[in-house]
Amino acid sequence: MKKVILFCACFFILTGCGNKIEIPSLGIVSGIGIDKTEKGFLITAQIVNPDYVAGNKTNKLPVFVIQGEGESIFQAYRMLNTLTTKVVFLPHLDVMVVSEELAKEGINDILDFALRNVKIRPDVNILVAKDVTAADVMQVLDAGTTIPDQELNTISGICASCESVKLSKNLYDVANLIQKKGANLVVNAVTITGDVAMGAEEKNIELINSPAKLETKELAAFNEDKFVGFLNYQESKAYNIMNGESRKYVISTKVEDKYLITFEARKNKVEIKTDLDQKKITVNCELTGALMDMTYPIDLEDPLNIKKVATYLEEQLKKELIEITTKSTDELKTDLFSVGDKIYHEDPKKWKEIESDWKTIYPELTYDITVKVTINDVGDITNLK
Amino acid sequence: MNEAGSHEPQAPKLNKELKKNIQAIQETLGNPSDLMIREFKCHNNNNISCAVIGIDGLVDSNQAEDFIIKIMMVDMPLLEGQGDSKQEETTFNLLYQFRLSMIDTKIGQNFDDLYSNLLSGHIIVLVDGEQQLLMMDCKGYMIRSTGEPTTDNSIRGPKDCFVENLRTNTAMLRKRIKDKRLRFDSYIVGEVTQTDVAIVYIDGIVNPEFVKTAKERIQNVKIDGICDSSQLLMLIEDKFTTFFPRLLSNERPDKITAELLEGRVAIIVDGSPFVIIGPASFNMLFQAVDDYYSRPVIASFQRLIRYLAFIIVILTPALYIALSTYHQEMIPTVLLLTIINQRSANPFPTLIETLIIVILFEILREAAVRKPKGIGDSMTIVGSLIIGQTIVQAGLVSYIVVIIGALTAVCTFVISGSRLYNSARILSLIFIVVGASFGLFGIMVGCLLLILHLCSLSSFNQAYMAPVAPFNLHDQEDQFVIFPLSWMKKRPKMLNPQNVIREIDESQLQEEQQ
Repeated sequence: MKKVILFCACFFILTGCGNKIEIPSLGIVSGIGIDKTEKGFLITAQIVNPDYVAGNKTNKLPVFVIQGEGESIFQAYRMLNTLTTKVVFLPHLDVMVVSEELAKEGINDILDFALRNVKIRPDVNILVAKDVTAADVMQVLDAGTTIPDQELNTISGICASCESVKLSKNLYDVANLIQKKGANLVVNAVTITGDVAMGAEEKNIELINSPAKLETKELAAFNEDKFVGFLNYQESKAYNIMNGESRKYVISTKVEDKYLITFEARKNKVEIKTDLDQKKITVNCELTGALMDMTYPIDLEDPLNIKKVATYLEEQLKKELIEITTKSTDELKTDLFSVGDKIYHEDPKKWKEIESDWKTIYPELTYDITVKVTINDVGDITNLK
Repeated sequence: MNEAGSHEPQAPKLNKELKKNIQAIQETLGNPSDLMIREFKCHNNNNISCAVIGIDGLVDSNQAEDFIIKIMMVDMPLLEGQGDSKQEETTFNLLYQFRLSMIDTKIGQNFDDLYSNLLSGHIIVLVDGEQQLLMMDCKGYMIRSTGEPTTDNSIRGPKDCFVENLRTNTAMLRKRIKDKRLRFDSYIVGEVTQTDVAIVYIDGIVNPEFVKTAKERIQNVKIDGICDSSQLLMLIEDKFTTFFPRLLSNERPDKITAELLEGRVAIIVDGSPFVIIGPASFNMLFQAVDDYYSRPVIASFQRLIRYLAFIIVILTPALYIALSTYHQEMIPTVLLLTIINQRSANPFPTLIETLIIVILFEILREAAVRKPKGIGDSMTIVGSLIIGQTIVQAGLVSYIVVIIGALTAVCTFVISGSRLYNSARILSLIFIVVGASFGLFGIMVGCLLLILHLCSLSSFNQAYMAPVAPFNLHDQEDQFVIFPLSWMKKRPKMLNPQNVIREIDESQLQEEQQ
């Protein structure tokens, strides 16, 4: 009996109540921006105001921002605690924004901080800030919608609107891609359009057309952990077609310089084969989808004409793919399409031989691209007279 | 028949003189007002003195007058001289063999027989000069008519239920099982109350070990008296400290019939409408009679809901406390923000908040059971409306805790058909303490300990967790999902019945005839 009492007493005496945090004391960080400063790192944390999210829209703003500076990222993070009465709580983090300058030097430090011991959930999006500092990005109030979970955080709304340039990589994916020799990392880039200074004003969410908006239509390419360059909107789309990461791809082309044809691909099949002896990469890309815009006066009831339209689209698609692949080999010199990985899967022994030299081999390769577009849906109106 | 009370060596013999016997009876019983003694002279062999004794209220006095007193006082003198051959018979034998036309008539030898039968509603006939007595069953006390079952409700299925009278209950079972192998073994429990207890089983189906165990345990009960079958149930349960019921009780004759057919043993206690079933297993706590009267798919769904409700009852409050004090990262962000917002005005820690709601519910529940019937409505208003509403507005607890308390409460009603309900409430409190102290880790360890504990239990020396542990593929047909009745051709193997097959095939019939 004594033992039983002693055992039960342990529940109360030896408990881990030290870890205990009562819920109201939490300050939930929804996004952090990391910048490079002279002292080391500057962390800008966006903390959610629960009153606002839960529906009590008093005069408060949905989020507030605190900044901390330190030699390491963790030191900077500790400094945040001196600025607020709440416990700075990272597990609910959605977004990490890294400034371009810091990304160029490498994001290994950031991954180390995020993955080592601060209990950040891995489903965090990493973005690179283009033309602005990460702190600026954190300080933009986004109008969003009135539904609480969408206005929860000004940043996480970003990726929802990314359409075909959206990428979704969690922290583990990012860490894996950095370590892999046969593949390279590409993440979203974010920038602010409009008046950057207005972003932090309350007016920004009061006006119907916000003066400052966050925009993510570009991608940021990395070589190992170092940022090497941005892919613009067109290139980003082509990148996604090559990698098959989105579900819908749009190709537009102009025929005879005035008739617009837009095609939305719903099925995507890409085959990449490498011939190292001839230093050639053969890409075979097949897209199947529907016509969305069609101002070209041609009789679509004739199957031959549909094929003709497809040929125009093929030309455009091929042009776009050549652009991105050339940029990948000549300008960025980084294997964006996991070509090395594909060699490894086909011939692991050969990959072992060339693995260490892959960085130098890749830029010397040339792409040979064949495309095929199949239109299986021309819509309800075949011909507009 | 009365094995427990009949073989005491020094039972005092009856006196030869009737007067002294009557005097002794009056002295022993304290000459109570309900003791009826009718002395008269039997107009037969030399006007011999006789006495008819009974307890008012326990015996049917009309029957006693018509079939005993009238025959002895009026008919016997009239018949005299017709049956001349009986002249040599003593009055006592004459009465027993030829005159008293009661079906349940026995001859007693001593005062013990006299008292035990007299006090259980028999009519006693004493004849002067005889050291024997006649005991006639003439029970005629008021019994409740069989109403609808109040505890184990069903939408379909029979609406009758057991009553407080053992004999009525056995009759109800006989009516349902018209098989010559149905057995009632009778025992007496309680030194003072002398309560009749009957072990019911179907010979040829039941595993004899169960009957033996039940018999031994009932005979080993040393107590002055029992008021209800639940007391006997606790006395004969397997000895191990736990809050899970190792034996079940039920007031539905159809349920008991089904259990007997599966090869279990039932124990009927006089004075209680609840009949004990043994051996019980954990899955029986989730069975409801409706399961067997509905389509298997629907019944399976309902049973899974019951399992779910049990898990909700024992784990939800604990999980809430653990998540909200240690593992906030596991709560969806928006929900977490809502909780933060709600709780920002609450002064108490989560544990205290939850305990307030859980204990408040227990108080309301207890009040609902104990209150006199007339004041029910006012309690509902005060309890649920006023307290429930204002406790949140006053900032004592947050909405989310009220939701969890209410959810748990509703789920306890789902499993309240059996005694599992009480176990679940205690378990819930234990898990709350463990969750508040150790977080999810504690809850996980608690679950493991609970499973270990359940696996260590036994009922009538049968594994309590059967057919899950030890696993038995055949018996899964009535475990989580219910198979159609036509597929259940065999009795549960875990009970080791003598006859596994439900339908008797022809070869077995021939064996029986031989």
